[in-house]
Amino acid sequence: MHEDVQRYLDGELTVEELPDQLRAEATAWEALLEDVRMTAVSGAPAWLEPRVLKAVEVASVPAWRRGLRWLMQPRTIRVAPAPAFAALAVLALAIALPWTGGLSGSGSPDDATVYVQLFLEAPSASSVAIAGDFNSWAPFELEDADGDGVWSARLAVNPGVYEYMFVLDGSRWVTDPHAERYSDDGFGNRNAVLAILPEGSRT
Amino acid sequence: MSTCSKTARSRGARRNGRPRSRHGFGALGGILLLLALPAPLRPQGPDLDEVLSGYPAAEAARLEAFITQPRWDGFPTELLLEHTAEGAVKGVRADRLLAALDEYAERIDRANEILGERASTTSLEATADVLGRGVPEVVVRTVAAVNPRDDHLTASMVALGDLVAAGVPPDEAENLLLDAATRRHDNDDVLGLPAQVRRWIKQGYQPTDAAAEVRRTMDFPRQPDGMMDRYNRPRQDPPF
Repeated sequence: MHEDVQRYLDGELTVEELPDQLRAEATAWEALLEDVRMTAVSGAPAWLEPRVLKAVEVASVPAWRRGLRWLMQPRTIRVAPAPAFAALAVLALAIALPWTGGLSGSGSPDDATVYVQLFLEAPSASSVAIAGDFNSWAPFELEDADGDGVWSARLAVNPGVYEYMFVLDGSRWVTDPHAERYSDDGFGNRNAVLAILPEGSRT
Repeated sequence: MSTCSKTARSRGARRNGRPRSRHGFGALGGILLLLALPAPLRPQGPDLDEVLSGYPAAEAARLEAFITQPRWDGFPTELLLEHTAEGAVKGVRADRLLAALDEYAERIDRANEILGERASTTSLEATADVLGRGVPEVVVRTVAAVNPRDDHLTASMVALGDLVAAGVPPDEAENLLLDAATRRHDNDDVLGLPAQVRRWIKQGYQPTDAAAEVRRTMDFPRQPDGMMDRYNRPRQDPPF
């Protein structure tokens, strides 16, 4: 189609503005388009749309069912061995770690740390340490900042039951005289027992 | 051509046209195997070598053999390790430490048998301590049965051991703890019972009477709305 004929059909030119040799072609195109206009379907019948929509509604599946279907469908998962091993190792660590660390006798993971102030009057000692199952029996030095012979330490422990003793001058093991309770250590000494348990009402 | 690829090819280990690589997976497998090992073979807590470093080699070997023996399958060996660390730091001789460990393990074993798998190491230790004080197993079982929650169990076992240490006969101590459980006393209340008994003993009461007095004057639980528990009405004081 000639460009001017196209412009004529688009309404940009009048028939008088067309060159004479194109007028016949333009008229032919116009007649053809009119025929098409006359024979075109004006639209879908009114009954069709609701019927289609109804069919679509019946066919649609709820999201939860689609999800379940996706989960239940057998699938082939391709995983490279190295990342799979790494993921397994991380999973195993995540499971193992809560049981490996922490203080002896510590309770559930939601236990809150409790601060305990312990003291011992030992004016003649040059050093006082405390060792117990809260620190795997590794002696921990107490302080006597003002030199009055009263040695003290502040310990952060999880709820639990702990046994401990004081160590004077690095070698002399002494039982805490202020403890509420004691236990035989099996080696001929008495350990002091510190029982800190969560508030456990029975309601 | 490297030895490794020779080995791989000699075993026909080709898949999709590529030789199957064996590099790196050994280490990963080793890590997984280590993680999968049962806990008794890898005692938690202090480092065993460090704990035993103060002993001559032969004695350290005997102690290590005791702690790592297969007999401890399912046993909380971290408790043994802690006890060993305690003995070592206190300078206990190896033969005495071995005897103490054996006796300690036997008590933990009995406690484990009574409490079953539900028990934590804390409640196991507390129960083992009670057994070591000569409290009959039947008493321990009864107290354990009324304290299904582990922290309640621990509190009750600590209190039981403490009451017996104060001179209260085990069956009287049991009654006191059963009353406390019935009245739904919390852990602090239960742990405070021996101190109450000691106060009565200081007043001149015999331990049995002191325990009875604590039972008689025991607080009663209140419902959240402040009402008395209908099933645990306070007893009346005797009219004298």
